[in-house]
Order: sequence, then structure tokens, then C-alpha cells
Amino acid sequence: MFFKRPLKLFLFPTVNIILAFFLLSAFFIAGRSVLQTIPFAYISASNYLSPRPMDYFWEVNINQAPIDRDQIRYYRDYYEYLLQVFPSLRDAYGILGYCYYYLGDDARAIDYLEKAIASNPIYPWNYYNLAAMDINKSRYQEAAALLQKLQLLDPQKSLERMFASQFVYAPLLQAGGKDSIGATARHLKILYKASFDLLRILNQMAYRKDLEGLIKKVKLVPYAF
Amino acid sequence: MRFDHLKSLCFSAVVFAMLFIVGFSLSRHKALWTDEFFTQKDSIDSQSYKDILTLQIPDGNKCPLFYLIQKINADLFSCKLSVAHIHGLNIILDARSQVITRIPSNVYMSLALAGIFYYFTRSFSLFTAIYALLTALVSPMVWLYWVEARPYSLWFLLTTAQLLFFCSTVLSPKIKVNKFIYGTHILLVLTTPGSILQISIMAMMLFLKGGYRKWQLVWTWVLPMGIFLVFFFLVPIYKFKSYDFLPIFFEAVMPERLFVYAAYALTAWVLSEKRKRYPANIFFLPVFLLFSISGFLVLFIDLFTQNSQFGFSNRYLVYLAPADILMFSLAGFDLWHWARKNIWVCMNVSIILGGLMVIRGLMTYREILASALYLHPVR
Repeated sequence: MFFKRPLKLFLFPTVNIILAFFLLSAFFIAGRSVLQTIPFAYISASNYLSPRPMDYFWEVNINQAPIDRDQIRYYRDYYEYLLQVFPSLRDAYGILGYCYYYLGDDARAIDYLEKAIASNPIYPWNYYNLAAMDINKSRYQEAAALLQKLQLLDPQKSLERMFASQFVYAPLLQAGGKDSIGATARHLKILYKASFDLLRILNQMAYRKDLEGLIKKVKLVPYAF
Repeated sequence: MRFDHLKSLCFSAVVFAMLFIVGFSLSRHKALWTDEFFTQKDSIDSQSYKDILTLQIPDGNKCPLFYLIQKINADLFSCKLSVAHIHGLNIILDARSQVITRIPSNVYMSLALAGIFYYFTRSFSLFTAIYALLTALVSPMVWLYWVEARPYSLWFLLTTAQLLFFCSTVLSPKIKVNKFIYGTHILLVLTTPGSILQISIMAMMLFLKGGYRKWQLVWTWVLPMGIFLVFFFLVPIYKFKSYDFLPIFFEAVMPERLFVYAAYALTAWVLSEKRKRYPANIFFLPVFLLFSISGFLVLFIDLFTQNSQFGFSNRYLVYLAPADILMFSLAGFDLWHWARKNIWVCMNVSIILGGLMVIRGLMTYREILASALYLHPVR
């Protein structure tokens, strides 16, 4: 009887408050540990969404397979998602610019390609793709400036950068199998040669009006790599 | 505060509308996967009503109810599947056919959740109904099968209906005979032969409860059993690999809730010893336990017959999810009700129930996100 009142007034609430503190801490720790694993869920989701097999861009860019807009749309969706959940994967800008070009959205394509050049200034295809779009729209001066910048890039570094792009370019290039480095290097060589020729034509256009007619007949298309 | 029939119905209708809109959005972002696509294409679009009713269904499941409703739905909206793009297991349709194909499943799941909400507003209170609805919404099975165009959400709805009708027959003060259970059993066995276990459990519980006449119990069990036997001889017997049967089981029954059920059983025992009375909803515990045992039974039978390439999926245990949701809601209500006289105990019970809900919600979000289920683009 003597102890009952203090027990009720003091001990019972104290024990319950300690228990509440313990429970809240346990739930807080459990909740935080679940939240910490959410980025892994994003990675798992991106694995589910990634195109499989991831060889379509290789076939189109290296083996000249025909353009399939549904395939490109799927790749576009995948890279949009990747960029949304992992904003640091800025290499995806270039691929998105390429995708939007073939989906007929030039404004977005240009926007993404400009972002791609700003975020990855040593990747030559973005310069070429933007220059190609400028040439198609008769913006020759802008195109020449871009091709000029392209010529100043180190091809070796560009190649290394492409294969070092673990989540964007490397999975696309792996579709080439054993010859992927060789084929990519050869394609890069063609790019430098073609862009050099284009630059020469653009520079000569100031005093050779016939070249403008010639270049207007050519429809240049972007490449992913 | 309990609501009257009309008020409960109005609230539930609002909940149904909201859930249906959510489901509509989900169905836009969920690509059909191979099984769904071929069910729709081969077993619904390519079959006539006569074929479906005479069980000429190419799917493994020959029970016609789901296929019949899908067929009516497709004809009603003049919807033929047009594939925009096939990618691995995902088949991306144009947005219209994707949404239309998923309408019945969306209705089933929304109706099941609104039904739970209705039952709890009617029998308990609005607060309990919201708690039960949240319990359902943090269950991964709800999100996994909400808009899947296969019979699982219909199975979920009918199981929910069966359990709610059972609750309403047993719940005091007025124990009554609920005739809707017969209809639910017939519909269940017309949806999937896998429902015979739960039908048998429920028939046994009704028999033990008493109050039903023999012919009523015959309707409850013998007729569904007869229909089941017809389908049983038509259904191909697949053999599955199920090395990981415990994780599959715990996708339908949340493992952390088992501690709450243990605490609930203990509380019931203490109350019965001290005050000679049981918590009001303890009657549901044996139902839940029998449902769980039946799930284990399915998995164990499967474990000893494995020699196939098919993995056993949690979808065959979808009927356990409503049992778990109702058990957690009823146990939570009783524990909270029991503790509410003491503010300190009430605080801790609320922390436990709320904390478990939040953690399960986060885990479900992570699971659904990781499976990229609703991340597919709209065409």
C-alpha cells in the first residue's frame, strides 16, 4: 500500500517513457537503414529498365542498321530515367540529344547536345552532332566553330573517355564484343577525317558559292559514337 | 464513432474513387508483361464467349470468371491490343489499350480496399478504417497486383469479401448468418481452383461457429468442391522450383506483424485469465493461422515435387494478403482499445503500430521501386 502510489506516479511513467524512447530509436534506426538502401533500389530499377540486349545503337552506328523509332524511344526513356535518378550521369545528355534528333524533336536534341558539350567537353561526337544539325539548318558559321573545336580534341583521350563512361557509353560499346575498341577507334578516325573535310568546305564557302549548293544537297545525321 | 450505412457508403465511395484514380495512373505506367499479354491475346481476344464458357481457355487456369469479365470489358471498349514495342518481358502497348485492359483489375483492387474501409467505418470507427486502409496500402501484394491484368486482383477482392462477410457473421453483439458467403465461394472457385483451401477453411470455421443449417454448409463447401473437381481434372499440373519458400511466404504475410499477433494472443490470454473475457476480434486469429498454414501447405507440397524450370511465385499466395491486412487491423484495434485507458501504455502501443506501419511502407516503396513496376513510359 505504501509503495503503490509512488509506483503509479513515478515508476510506471518512467519505465514507459524509457520504453518509448527505446522504441522510437529502434524505429528511427530501422527507417534510416531502409532509406539508405533506396539508392540500390534505383540501381535495380535501372537494370530492369535497361534495354536488353543493348546492341541496337551499336548496330545502327557501326553496322548501319536501319533506324527504328520504337527502339530509339525505348533508349530515350531509359536514359531519361537514368538522368532523373542519377543526375551525375551527364554522359546521358549526348545520347538523349541523339535520340531526340531521330524522334523529330530538334529543339530538345539541340538543348541536350549543348548540355552534353558543356558537361563533357572532350567527347567529339557531340560537337559533330550539333554541327550536323546546324549545317542541315544552314547555320554554317556555328557549325564551323563546333568542328573547329572538335579538331582540337585528343582522339586518344576521347576513346578512353568513352570506355570509362561506365553507365552510359561503356555498356553500349560492349555490344561490339572483342572488336569494340578497334571498331570504335576506326569510327572515331572517320569522324575526325569527315569533320576536317566538312570544316574545309565550310571555310571555303566564303569565296566558293558552288559549295553551298553542294552542302545543301547533303543530309547529315548524328551518331551516338 | 461508428457510422451508419449511408455515411459509411459515402465515405467508401470517395475512397473507391480516389483509389481508382491512383490505379488509373498506375495502369498507364505499367507495361504488360509476357503472361499478361498472352492471357489477353490468346485466352480473351482470340476466344469467343462460348469458348470461355465451355472452358476452351489456352491458359493454365480454366476457371472462366476472370476471362469472361475481361472479354466483356474488351468488347465494351472495342479494345484490341496493339503493340507499340516489345522489349524482353515487357510489352508496351498504346496507352489506351494498356489502361482499358487493366480497368477490371483496377476496379477489383479499389473495391477490395474500399470494402475494407467500409467494413471498418461501419463496425468500428473512421480512425480505425483509415488505419486499416493504410495497413492495406503498405502491403506489397496490393501494389504488385493492383492493375495486373490476370486473375490475382479478382482473387484478392473475393478473398477480402469472404473474410469481411465472415467477420460480419461473427462480430458481436449480433451474430448472424451471412448468406453472401455462399456467393463469394462460388465466385472464388470460378476464379481459381487454388481457392479451394480457403473455402474449406471458411466452411470449417462456419461449421465450428454454429448457427448454420446443414444445407447451408453444403452450399458453402460441397458445391464449390464439386466445381473445383471439374476444374482440377482440366488444369495442367505444373511443378515449380521453390527453394526460397520462406521469402515468398513473407511477401504475403508481413513477418514483423507476427510479433504483434503474438502480443495480441498473449493479451487475449491474460484478459481471459484475469477478466474472464476475450478481446472482441480474437475470433479472426484462428482464421489467419489456418490461412497461413494453408500457404505453407502449398509451398511444402511444391517443395517435394520440384523438377521444373518454373519458379514458384508469390502470386499463388495472394489470398494470404487480405487475411494479413485484416488481422493486423483487428489486432491493432484491439490492442489500442485495450491500452487506451492508460496513456503511457497507449503511447507505446501507438508507437509500435505506427512505427511498424511506417517501416513497412518504406520497405514496400523500396520493393516496388526496385522492381521498376510502374516506371514504364506512356505511349
